[in-house]
Amino acid sequence: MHEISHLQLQKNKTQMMTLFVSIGITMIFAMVAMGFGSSKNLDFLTSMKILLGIQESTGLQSDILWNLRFPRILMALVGGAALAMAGAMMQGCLGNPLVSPLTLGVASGAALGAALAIVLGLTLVSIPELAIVANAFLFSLIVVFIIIKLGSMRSVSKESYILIGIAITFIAGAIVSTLQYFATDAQLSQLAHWSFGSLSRPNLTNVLWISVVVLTLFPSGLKSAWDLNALSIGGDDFAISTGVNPVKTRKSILVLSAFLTSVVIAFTGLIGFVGLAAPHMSRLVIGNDYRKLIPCSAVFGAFLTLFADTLGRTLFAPIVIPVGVMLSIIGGPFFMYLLLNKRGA
Amino acid sequence: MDHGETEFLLKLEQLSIGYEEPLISNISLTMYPGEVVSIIGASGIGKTTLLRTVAGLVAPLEGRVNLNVKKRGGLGYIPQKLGLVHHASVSHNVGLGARAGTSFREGPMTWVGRRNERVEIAIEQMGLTEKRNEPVRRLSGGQQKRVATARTLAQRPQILLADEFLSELDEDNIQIVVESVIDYVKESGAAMILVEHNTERAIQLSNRIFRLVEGELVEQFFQGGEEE
Repeated sequence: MHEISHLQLQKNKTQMMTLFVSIGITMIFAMVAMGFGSSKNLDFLTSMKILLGIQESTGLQSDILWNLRFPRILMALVGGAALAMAGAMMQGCLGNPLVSPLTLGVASGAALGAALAIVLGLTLVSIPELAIVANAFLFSLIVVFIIIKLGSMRSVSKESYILIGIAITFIAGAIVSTLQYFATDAQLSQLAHWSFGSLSRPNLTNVLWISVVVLTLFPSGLKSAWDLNALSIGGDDFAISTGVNPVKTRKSILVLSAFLTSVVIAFTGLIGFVGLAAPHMSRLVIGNDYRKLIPCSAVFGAFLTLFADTLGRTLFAPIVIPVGVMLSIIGGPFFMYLLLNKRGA
Repeated sequence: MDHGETEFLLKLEQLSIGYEEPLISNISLTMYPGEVVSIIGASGIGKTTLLRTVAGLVAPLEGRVNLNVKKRGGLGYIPQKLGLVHHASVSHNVGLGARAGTSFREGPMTWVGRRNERVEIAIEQMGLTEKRNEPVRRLSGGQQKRVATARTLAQRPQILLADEFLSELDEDNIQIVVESVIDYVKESGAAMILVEHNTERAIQLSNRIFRLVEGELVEQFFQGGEEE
């Protein structure tokens, strides 16, 4: 018995170390990423010197660093973390490894909102520069609300949420397709660009606001970790026998993760893969305890998104490959490698 | 019993339960603090489904379940399949219940202390002190039942649902478990629904007894252990 608990402690220690090392690596990489870019006025060494305070920057250089690169990198970190965390929570509370933050209609709602704004000019908020963002955000929340209402009407099982989510996704998808069919070429290209998912869209103010929202919601995510443990260990019956109400818990976690997701994708467009893969990668490294899995997913998500985006904007510079595309291209094979490697071990 | 102004803890209104077809229809039941209700009847006619519906695990076909309890940890459930974490220790398992029932808001600084205190009390009540660090899988069936009961007691629920939680226990164990649970219900003003196949024990434990007959819940009246 004593040996077991000793081993357990050792394992806990290693896992915590892994988590802190990952945070460190991500932070260092974020700084390094500030140095990458296609500008002729600012090479890698100069930007490092400016960041470390060794060299004074010119107006143009500081503009590139702080108004172009910094918001983009912060958005990658915050957005990746939020999507991965939402993915981990959704997978846990629906007990389904295929679920990602975009499964539950959030993405289709956002796409519907964006399409309505772009094609029909139908907006819920009358500030021109925020019209598409606000539409995407509000419609994704409306769709999630409908799914949760319908899902808990007939039965209280978790499958009903997933199935109704899929049905609603198809309906919203059909409406978007209809709108695309009647859209002009310009509108079509705008809509396609929106759906690629890019980190360059939000400006510094936007990114700071998103960061505030995500950071405020982070503790609630951590607080739900125990309930998620109860739900994922033994399902609803186990949860209720430990005093956790599975139905209420599931609803509140769904709302929380939908909110996290739509705050991000309303600004960036659709970024899907990170919310599915980062939680699974974390599971392989750190196990299934949600107290560690949620922060670990957030860190992995942040790193993965930043890595993909940095690669996307440097590989074929000055052409920038959208982060959503890049994530799937490099993340997919890496993800498969991890899964197959684990199976063999 | 006249309850005057006392607030109910649980109210079932015209409840009809089941999965596709109704198993039991037209259930109306109101429970007040300190009450114990037993449900008896043959197996496979919906007793467990009734508890699961009250717990919110199964949606009612018709009618409503009104719970007047705190949002977190207000409802405790001792299922027939105990749902223990078998590789974890007794105190860890009991701690899960204590965690759900201890509110962070009542004082974040003393949260851990209050939780541990509840675990210790519940473990002692169930006579498991010597086994507290043993993994649950090494315990006997009866001991595991006591762990599940301790977990729910540590949660301090306002409504306690117990599904045949006395079966598989020998006489000594039954005495330990029954006394602590009934004491808890009376002292804390909780309400308890008990599914029990042993009529005698049901009479001994509860204020009211319902028998499930042909899809209906019928209240039974006993005197001196004999059916009237």
